Amino acid sequence: MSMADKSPSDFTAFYIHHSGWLKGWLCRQLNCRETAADLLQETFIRVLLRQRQQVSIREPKAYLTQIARGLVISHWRRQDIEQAYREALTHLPEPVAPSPEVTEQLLETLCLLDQALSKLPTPVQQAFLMAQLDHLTYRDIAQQLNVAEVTIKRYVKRALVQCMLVMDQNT
Amino acid sequence: MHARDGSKYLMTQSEQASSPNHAHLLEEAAEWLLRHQEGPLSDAEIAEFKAWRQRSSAHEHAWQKAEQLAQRLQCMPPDITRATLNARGAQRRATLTRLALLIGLVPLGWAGWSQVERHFGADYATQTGERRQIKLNDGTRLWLNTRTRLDVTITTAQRHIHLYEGELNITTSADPRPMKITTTAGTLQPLGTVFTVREAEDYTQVGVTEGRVAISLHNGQQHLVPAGQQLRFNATRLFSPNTYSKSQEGWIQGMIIADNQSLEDFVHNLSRYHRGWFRVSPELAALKISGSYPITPLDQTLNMLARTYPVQISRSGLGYLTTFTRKATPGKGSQSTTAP
Repeated sequence: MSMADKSPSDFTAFYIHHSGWLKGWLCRQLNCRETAADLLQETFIRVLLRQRQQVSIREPKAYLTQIARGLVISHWRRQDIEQAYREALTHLPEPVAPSPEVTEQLLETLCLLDQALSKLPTPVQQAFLMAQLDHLTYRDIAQQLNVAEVTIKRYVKRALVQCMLVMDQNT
Repeated sequence: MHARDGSKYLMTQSEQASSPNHAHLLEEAAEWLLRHQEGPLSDAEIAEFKAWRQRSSAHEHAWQKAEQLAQRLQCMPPDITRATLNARGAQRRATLTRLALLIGLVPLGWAGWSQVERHFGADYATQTGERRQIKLNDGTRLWLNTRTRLDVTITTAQRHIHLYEGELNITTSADPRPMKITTTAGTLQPLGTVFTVREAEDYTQVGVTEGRVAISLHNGQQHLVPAGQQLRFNATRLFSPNTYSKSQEGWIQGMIIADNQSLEDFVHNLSRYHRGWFRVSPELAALKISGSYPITPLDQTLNMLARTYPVQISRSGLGYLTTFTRKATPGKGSQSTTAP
C-alpha cells in the first residue's frame, strides 16, 4: 500500500501511532531526550519526503527504525567530527576562530569526507587529499606514493565519485 | 501541479541514485572536473564538454554536483582537515562499538559496516608511534611495532596469529602445537625462532634472527628463510632475499638504526611512527644516512639529522607537514623550526 494517496490526517495517525515507541528507542540510543526529540522529528520528515516518492510502507516499525538508525549514526559521526575538529583547532600555532557559518560549512564537508573516504583504501585517500587539498601534481603524488601517475588520477577520480555518491545519499 | 512536479523530480533522482548508469555519469563528471583542474581546456575540449553537459538533464545534474564538491573542497584548510580526519581514525573504534550495539538491537542488513568492524576489531592493536610487548599464554613473546593489528587464536591443536597490518617481532616458545602466522600474502610457519614479520601495503616482509621460518604463498609456492636473511613476498611471488641484521629490530628499543640508507627510505621508515606528512625534495632523496636515531621525540630526531647532514627541515601546518630540503647557503634567513 502506498502512502502517497493518504490524506494528512492519515499521516497524523501514523505519527501518533508510532512516535511513542520510536522516541523511546531513540532515547535509549542517545541518552539525551532533546537529541532524541530532534531525531524523532527528522525521522518523520524523511518519511514525509519519501512519501512523495511513493514508497510503500509494509513494515512501518522496520522502516522507521531504519531511517532513525541512519540519523543516529549521522549524529554520532557529526559529534565525533566536531570533537576531532575542536581538538585540531587547539593544535594550531595561532588561535583561529572561524565564524559559526564557516565552522558549519567546514564541519559539513568534514563529515562528507569522513564518510566517503573511510570506505576507500589508504593510498586512494592519500592521493585524493594530496591532489585536492594540497594541490600537488599527479607526478609529485606518484613519486611520494610510489605509484604510477595514471593510477593516481584513477584514485583521485574514484574518491571524487565516492564523495558525490555520499552527497546523493545525504539529500 | 507544482507538487506533482516536485514528486516527479524526487522520483527520478532516487531512481538515478540507485542505477549503475548514475555512477557512470558521476565518473564522467569527475573526469571533466579533473580535466578542468589540470589546466585550461582547448577550444575543442570546451566544445566537447559543452556537448556532454547538454546531453541530458542528468548530465547537467552530475556536473553541478561535481562543481559543488570542488567548491566545497576548495574552502577546506588542509591542516585542519587532515588533523580532523586523522583524529577520526582513532575515534572510529569507539564508534564501532556503539554501532555494534545498535546493530544488535535491530538486526537488519549492514554489510557495509561488517568489513570495517572486522578491520578495526583486532585482538591486539597499536596506534601510530606506539609499541607494545605481549606475552601469550603459550609462552610466545610478541613485540608490536607502530600501527599494528592482529588476532590471536590458540586452540588445543594449534596456535594462529593473523597479522592485518603493521610489524611484529616474535620469539616462539617451546610449545609442541604448530604455530602459523597469516598475512594477506601467505602463511608463515616458524621453526623454533626469533623473527620479525611486517605486513606492508602490498607485500609481507619476513626477517629471521634465529632458527628458520617456512613461507607458503597463497599461490602454493613455498620457501624456507634461514637466520640472517630477509625476504619480501606477495600472494604470487617471492622477491630476492637480502641480509637481515639485528639492527633492523632497533625499533624494539625505540631506535632507528640506519646503515648507509637513503634519506628517502629513512624518512619513509620514520613516517611510520608519526602522524602527518613527510616530504623529501628529490635532490635529497638519495642522500645516504647512517647512525642511530631515536624514534621519538620527533624534534630531537630531526635536530640530529639537521646537525649531521646538509638538510633543512621545516615543519608547518600544525606540525603535520615535515619537509626536507637542501640546506640553504649560510647567512640566508631560515624558516626552519629545527635548525640549531
